Amino acid sequence: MSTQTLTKESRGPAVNEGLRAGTRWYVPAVDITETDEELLLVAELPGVKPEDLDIQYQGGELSITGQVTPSYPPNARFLLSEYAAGGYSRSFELGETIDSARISAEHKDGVLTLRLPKIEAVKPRRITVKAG
Amino acid sequence: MKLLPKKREKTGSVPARGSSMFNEVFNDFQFGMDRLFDRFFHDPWATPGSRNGWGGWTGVGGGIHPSLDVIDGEKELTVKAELPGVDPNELDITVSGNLLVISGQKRDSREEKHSAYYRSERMFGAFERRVELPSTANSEKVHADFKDGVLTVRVEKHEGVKPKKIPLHP
Repeated sequence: MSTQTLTKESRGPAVNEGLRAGTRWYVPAVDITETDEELLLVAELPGVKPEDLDIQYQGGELSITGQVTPSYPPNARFLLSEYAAGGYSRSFELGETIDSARISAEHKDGVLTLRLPKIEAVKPRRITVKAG
Repeated sequence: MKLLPKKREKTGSVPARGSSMFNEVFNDFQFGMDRLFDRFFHDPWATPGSRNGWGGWTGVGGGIHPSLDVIDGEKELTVKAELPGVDPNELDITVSGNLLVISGQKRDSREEKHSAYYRSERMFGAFERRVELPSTANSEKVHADFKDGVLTVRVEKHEGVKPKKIPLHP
Protein backbone atom coordinates (compact mmCIF):
# COMPACT_ATOMS: atom_id res chain seq x y z
CA MET A 1 0.00 0.00 0.00
CA SER A 2 3.07 2.18 0.26
CA THR A 3 3.26 5.01 -2.22
CA GLN A 4 6.91 5.84 -1.57
CA THR A 5 6.13 9.21 -0.10
CA LEU A 6 9.45 9.56 1.63
CA THR A 7 12.01 9.97 -1.09
CA LYS A 8 15.23 10.77 0.66
CA GLU A 9 16.84 12.19 3.70
CA SER A 10 18.96 15.30 3.61
CA ARG A 11 21.24 17.05 6.01
CA GLY A 12 19.73 19.18 8.72
CA PRO A 13 19.66 22.88 7.85
CA ALA A 14 21.11 23.81 11.21
CA VAL A 15 24.11 21.60 10.58
CA ASN A 16 24.61 22.97 7.08
CA GLU A 17 24.38 26.58 8.09
CA GLY A 18 26.45 26.08 11.21
CA LEU A 19 23.88 27.73 13.43
CA ARG A 20 25.12 28.37 16.93
CA ALA A 21 28.68 27.43 16.17
CA GLY A 22 30.28 25.43 18.91
CA THR A 23 27.16 23.55 19.92
CA ARG A 24 26.87 19.85 19.34
CA TRP A 25 24.23 18.56 17.01
CA TYR A 26 22.74 15.13 17.23
CA VAL A 27 20.66 13.10 14.85
CA PRO A 28 17.46 12.18 16.68
CA ALA A 29 16.18 8.62 16.49
CA VAL A 30 12.97 8.47 14.46
CA ASP A 31 10.25 6.05 13.52
CA ILE A 32 8.45 6.84 10.28
CA THR A 33 5.39 4.86 9.26
CA GLU A 34 2.80 5.31 6.57
CA THR A 35 -0.86 4.59 6.05
CA ASP A 36 -3.10 5.42 3.11
CA GLU A 37 -4.01 8.66 4.84
CA GLU A 38 -0.82 9.96 6.39
CA LEU A 39 2.82 9.69 7.33
CA LEU A 40 3.52 9.42 11.04
CA LEU A 41 6.91 10.60 12.28
CA VAL A 42 7.97 10.04 15.87
CA ALA A 43 11.26 11.61 16.96
CA GLU A 44 13.08 11.37 20.27
CA LEU A 45 14.26 14.78 21.46
CA PRO A 46 15.08 14.45 25.15
CA GLY A 47 15.76 17.74 26.88
CA VAL A 48 14.18 19.93 24.20
CA LYS A 49 11.56 22.31 25.55
CA PRO A 50 8.46 22.66 23.35
CA GLU A 51 9.27 26.33 22.71
CA ASP A 52 12.77 25.42 21.48
CA LEU A 53 11.43 23.09 18.83
CA ASP A 54 11.29 24.26 15.23
CA ILE A 55 9.43 22.25 12.61
CA GLN A 56 9.28 23.42 9.00
CA TYR A 57 7.82 22.01 5.84
CA GLN A 58 8.85 23.93 2.78
CA GLY A 59 9.31 22.93 -0.83
CA GLY A 60 8.64 19.31 0.02
CA GLU A 61 11.29 19.22 2.72
CA LEU A 62 10.48 18.60 6.34
CA SER A 63 13.04 19.77 8.86
CA ILE A 64 13.06 19.31 12.61
CA THR A 65 15.41 21.31 14.80
CA GLY A 66 15.47 21.25 18.58
CA GLN A 67 17.72 23.42 20.69
CA VAL A 68 18.92 22.26 24.08
CA THR A 69 20.05 24.79 26.64
CA PRO A 70 22.71 23.23 28.84
CA SER A 71 21.61 23.38 32.44
CA TYR A 72 25.00 22.74 33.99
CA PRO A 73 27.22 25.41 35.46
CA PRO A 74 30.35 25.91 33.35
CA ASN A 75 32.59 24.61 36.12
CA ALA A 76 30.48 21.51 36.85
CA ARG A 77 32.44 18.50 38.01
CA PHE A 78 31.27 15.41 36.14
CA LEU A 79 31.51 12.04 37.87
CA LEU A 80 29.98 10.49 34.79
CA SER A 81 29.27 12.09 31.43
CA GLU A 82 27.58 9.97 28.80
CA TYR A 83 25.85 12.68 26.87
CA ALA A 84 26.90 16.22 26.20
CA ALA A 85 24.21 18.84 25.84
CA GLY A 86 23.45 19.61 22.24
CA GLY A 87 20.68 20.24 19.78
CA TYR A 88 18.95 17.92 17.38
CA SER A 89 18.50 18.33 13.66
CA ARG A 90 17.21 16.16 10.85
CA SER A 91 15.48 16.72 7.51
CA PHE A 92 13.51 14.58 5.13
CA GLU A 93 12.39 15.09 1.59
CA LEU A 94 8.74 14.20 1.27
CA GLY A 95 7.98 15.72 -2.10
CA GLU A 96 4.81 17.69 -2.70
CA THR A 97 2.65 14.96 -1.22
CA ILE A 98 1.78 16.42 2.17
CA ASP A 99 -1.18 18.64 2.95
CA SER A 100 0.87 21.18 4.90
CA ALA A 101 -2.17 22.99 6.28
CA ARG A 102 -3.24 19.88 8.16
CA ILE A 103 0.15 18.88 9.67
CA SER A 104 -0.22 18.41 13.40
CA ALA A 105 2.45 18.09 16.06
CA GLU A 106 2.41 16.80 19.61
CA HIS A 107 5.26 16.87 22.09
CA LYS A 108 5.25 14.72 25.20
CA ASP A 109 7.96 13.30 27.48
CA GLY A 110 10.69 14.30 25.04
CA VAL A 111 9.00 12.67 22.08
CA LEU A 112 7.68 14.60 19.09
CA THR A 113 4.82 13.05 17.13
CA LEU A 114 4.14 14.58 13.72
CA ARG A 115 1.10 13.65 11.68
CA LEU A 116 1.57 14.49 8.03
CA PRO A 117 -1.68 13.98 6.11
CA LYS A 118 -1.33 13.22 2.41
CA ILE A 119 -2.91 15.32 -0.27
CA GLU A 120 -5.92 13.72 -1.98
CA ALA A 121 -4.08 13.15 -5.26
CA VAL A 122 -1.61 10.68 -3.78
CA LYS A 123 -4.04 8.67 -1.67
CA PRO A 124 -4.82 5.22 -3.01
CA ARG A 125 -8.31 5.06 -4.48
CA ARG A 126 -10.63 2.11 -4.62
CA ILE A 127 -12.53 1.83 -7.87
CA THR A 128 -15.92 0.28 -7.52
CA VAL A 129 -17.17 -1.74 -10.41
CA LYS A 130 -20.85 -1.26 -11.07
CA ALA A 131 -22.81 -4.33 -11.79
CA GLY A 132 -24.16 -4.04 -15.32
CA MET B 1 24.58 -7.08 2.39
CA LYS B 2 25.35 -10.75 2.78
CA LEU B 3 27.88 -11.85 5.30
CA LEU B 4 27.94 -15.52 4.42
CA PRO B 5 26.94 -17.41 1.31
CA LYS B 6 23.69 -19.32 1.46
CA LYS B 7 23.98 -23.05 1.10
CA ARG B 8 20.37 -23.87 0.43
CA GLU B 9 20.62 -24.92 -3.22
CA LYS B 10 23.44 -27.36 -2.56
CA THR B 11 21.46 -30.61 -2.98
CA GLY B 12 17.95 -31.55 -3.94
CA SER B 13 17.42 -33.56 -0.77
CA VAL B 14 15.17 -32.40 2.03
CA PRO B 15 17.26 -31.20 4.96
CA ALA B 16 16.87 -32.82 8.34
CA ARG B 17 14.40 -31.16 10.66
CA GLY B 18 17.07 -30.00 13.07
CA SER B 19 19.12 -28.30 10.42
CA SER B 20 16.17 -26.42 8.95
CA MET B 21 15.43 -25.03 12.42
CA PHE B 22 19.00 -23.93 12.64
CA ASN B 23 18.69 -22.15 9.32
CA GLU B 24 15.74 -20.16 10.54
CA VAL B 25 17.50 -19.02 13.67
CA PHE B 26 20.59 -18.26 11.68
CA ASN B 27 18.61 -16.27 9.14
CA ASP B 28 17.08 -14.22 11.93
CA PHE B 29 20.52 -13.50 13.23
CA GLN B 30 21.73 -12.60 9.77
CA PHE B 31 18.76 -10.33 9.26
CA GLY B 32 19.67 -8.54 12.46
CA MET B 33 23.25 -8.16 11.32
CA ASP B 34 22.13 -6.92 7.90
CA ARG B 35 20.00 -4.30 9.57
CA LEU B 36 22.86 -3.23 11.76
CA PHE B 37 25.23 -2.91 8.83
CA ASP B 38 22.64 -1.23 6.65
CA ARG B 39 22.00 1.32 9.32
CA PHE B 40 25.68 1.95 9.70
CA PHE B 41 26.49 2.32 6.02
CA HIS B 42 23.32 3.84 4.66
CA ASP B 43 23.00 6.49 7.31
CA PRO B 44 26.34 8.28 7.49
CA TRP B 45 25.01 10.27 10.42
CA ALA B 46 24.79 7.16 12.50
CA THR B 47 28.21 7.54 14.01
CA PRO B 48 28.85 6.04 17.41
CA GLY B 49 27.85 8.63 19.94
CA SER B 50 25.11 10.18 17.88
CA ARG B 51 21.73 9.60 19.39
CA ASN B 52 19.91 7.69 16.74
CA GLY B 53 19.79 4.37 18.46
CA TRP B 54 23.26 3.45 17.39
CA GLY B 55 24.79 5.21 20.38
CA GLY B 56 23.17 5.96 23.68
CA TRP B 57 20.07 3.87 23.53
CA THR B 58 21.30 0.65 22.05
CA GLY B 59 21.99 -2.10 24.50
CA VAL B 60 23.19 -5.66 24.08
CA GLY B 61 20.50 -8.17 23.26
CA GLY B 62 17.85 -5.66 22.26
CA GLY B 63 17.69 -3.97 25.66
CA ILE B 64 18.00 -0.26 26.13
CA HIS B 65 20.68 1.61 27.97
CA PRO B 66 19.76 5.21 28.79
CA SER B 67 22.60 7.74 28.88
CA LEU B 68 23.49 9.27 32.24
CA ASP B 69 25.25 12.35 33.49
CA VAL B 70 26.34 12.60 37.13
CA ILE B 71 27.43 16.00 38.40
CA ASP B 72 29.12 16.61 41.72
CA GLY B 73 27.92 20.03 42.77
CA GLU B 74 28.72 22.08 45.82
CA LYS B 75 25.58 21.23 47.75
CA GLU B 76 24.12 18.32 45.85
CA LEU B 77 24.75 15.53 43.40
CA THR B 78 22.72 15.62 40.21
CA VAL B 79 21.98 12.53 38.14
CA LYS B 80 20.39 13.07 34.74
CA ALA B 81 19.05 10.31 32.54
CA GLU B 82 17.70 10.60 29.02
CA LEU B 83 14.44 8.70 28.91
CA PRO B 84 12.42 10.00 25.95
CA GLY B 85 9.03 8.38 25.60
CA VAL B 86 9.06 6.72 29.00
CA ASP B 87 5.80 7.04 30.89
CA PRO B 88 6.65 8.57 34.31
CA ASN B 89 4.32 5.98 35.88
CA GLU B 90 6.60 3.25 34.57
CA LEU B 91 9.72 4.78 36.03
CA ASP B 92 11.20 3.48 39.31
CA ILE B 93 13.82 5.34 41.29
CA THR B 94 15.18 3.70 44.44
CA VAL B 95 18.06 4.49 46.77
CA SER B 96 19.43 1.85 49.10
CA GLY B 97 22.57 2.73 50.95
CA ASN B 98 24.63 4.63 48.42
CA LEU B 99 23.23 2.83 45.41
CA LEU B 100 20.81 4.72 43.19
CA VAL B 101 18.82 2.53 40.81
CA ILE B 102 16.84 3.94 37.90
CA SER B 103 14.72 1.33 36.16
CA GLY B 104 11.55 1.06 34.15
CA GLN B 105 9.84 0.15 30.93
CA LYS B 106 9.72 1.97 27.66
CA ARG B 107 6.71 0.78 25.73
CA ASP B 108 6.14 0.73 22.03
CA SER B 109 2.84 2.51 21.44
CA ARG B 110 3.00 2.42 17.66
CA GLU B 111 -0.24 1.75 15.93
CA GLU B 112 -0.44 -1.49 14.01
CA LYS B 113 -2.39 0.00 11.13
CA HIS B 114 0.81 1.74 10.09
CA SER B 115 2.12 -1.03 7.94
CA ALA B 116 4.85 0.61 5.88
CA TYR B 117 8.00 1.47 7.79
CA TYR B 118 10.54 3.95 6.45
CA ARG B 119 12.58 4.27 9.62
CA SER B 120 12.50 2.24 12.81
CA GLU B 121 15.27 3.52 15.02
CA ARG B 122 13.66 3.93 18.41
CA MET B 123 14.35 1.25 20.98
CA PHE B 124 11.87 -0.17 23.44
CA GLY B 125 11.95 -2.48 26.42
CA ALA B 126 13.12 -2.66 30.01
CA PHE B 127 16.08 -0.73 31.31
CA GLU B 128 18.07 -0.42 34.50
CA ARG B 129 20.97 1.80 35.42
CA ARG B 130 22.80 1.65 38.76
CA VAL B 131 24.81 4.55 40.07
CA GLU B 132 27.05 4.30 43.09
CA LEU B 133 26.81 7.60 44.92
CA PRO B 134 29.82 9.05 46.70
CA SER B 135 29.93 8.90 50.50
CA THR B 136 29.03 12.60 50.67
CA ALA B 137 25.51 11.78 49.43
CA ASN B 138 22.63 11.94 51.90
CA SER B 139 20.34 9.19 50.65
CA GLU B 140 17.55 10.46 52.92
CA LYS B 141 17.25 13.63 50.87
CA VAL B 142 16.55 12.72 47.27
CA HIS B 143 14.36 14.67 44.86
CA ALA B 144 13.37 13.57 41.38
CA ASP B 145 11.58 15.21 38.49
CA PHE B 146 10.89 14.20 34.92
CA LYS B 147 10.57 16.81 32.20
CA ASP B 148 10.78 16.69 28.41
CA GLY B 149 12.08 13.13 28.52
CA VAL B 150 14.91 13.85 30.94
CA LEU B 151 14.90 12.52 34.50
CA THR B 152 16.75 14.66 37.05
CA VAL B 153 17.54 13.15 40.44
CA ARG B 154 19.06 15.47 43.02
CA VAL B 155 20.73 14.01 46.08
CA GLU B 156 21.66 16.42 48.83
CA LYS B 157 25.09 16.21 50.40
CA HIS B 158 25.71 15.66 54.09
CA GLU B 159 26.38 18.93 55.81
CA GLY B 160 29.80 19.55 57.18
CA VAL B 161 31.58 17.14 54.90
CA LYS B 162 34.95 18.75 54.80
CA PRO B 163 38.27 17.22 53.89
CA LYS B 164 40.06 16.09 57.06
CA LYS B 165 43.74 16.78 57.21
CA ILE B 166 45.79 13.82 58.37
CA PRO B 167 49.01 14.84 60.11
CA LEU B 168 52.14 12.87 59.34
CA HIS B 169 54.13 11.45 62.24
CA PRO B 170 57.71 10.97 61.29
